[in-house]
Amino acid sequence: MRYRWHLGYVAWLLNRVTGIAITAYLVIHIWVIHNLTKGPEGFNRVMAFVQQPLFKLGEIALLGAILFHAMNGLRVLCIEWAGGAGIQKRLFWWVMAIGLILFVFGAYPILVSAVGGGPVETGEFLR
Amino acid sequence: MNGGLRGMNSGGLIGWFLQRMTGLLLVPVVLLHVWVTHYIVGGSGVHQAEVDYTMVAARLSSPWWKLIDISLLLIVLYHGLRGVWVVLQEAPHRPWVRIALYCVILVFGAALAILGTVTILPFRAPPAALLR
Repeated sequence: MRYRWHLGYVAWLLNRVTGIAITAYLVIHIWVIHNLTKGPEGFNRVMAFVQQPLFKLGEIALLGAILFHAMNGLRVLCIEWAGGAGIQKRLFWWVMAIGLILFVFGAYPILVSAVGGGPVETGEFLR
Repeated sequence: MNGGLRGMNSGGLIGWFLQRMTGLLLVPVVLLHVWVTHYIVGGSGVHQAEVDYTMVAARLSSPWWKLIDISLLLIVLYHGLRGVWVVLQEAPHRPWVRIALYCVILVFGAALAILGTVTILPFRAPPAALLR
């Protein structure tokens, strides 16, 4: 049973899970953004709804899924095309470290806006 | 095994190659998309930006952003739905189920591609919306 949870297997499995989750989100995302055709009031009403704190937590999970999928994908390319098979394990931890740094960097502002203050209006810094 | 349709074969070399190439392309493009739509630098550092009509309209007033967004839409739909198709194929299916699943994914993908394109391509913000 140890072989079943081999690093490469876990990465392969997580790649599928995150891939399917991201694709499911993509479908909803295209649908939601289509509200742009309803004009400013219609679009802003929908966007206000999907930018509530609970959705922010979902956004953090989405960011994690995207970063895992992207970083793991780069690892797969390194193994297949750059002869990285010999350093597979080290490669995995390297890309995951980069992914984790990007995740912390990206998740923190979302968390801040979720727990207090809310998101910053684009115009706020431009005035 | 292959139900007789070459394009349906998940093990196809071209399909496999395209999945890698689109994946590689999507890494910087998706990260750019997330960065420009959700973050803003100012004040005391990086903040999450409020996504509203004005912000999206400002970006879509450039034909280059329209091109980038439509390219992203089509590439990510191809990559994502092909990935789902590969996963679905792992379970053994009768040939007619395979063909039905393939058609469903194809029609679904085409519908989403059209829905996304008609959102972006003809978009023109009313002039008042660009003023805050």
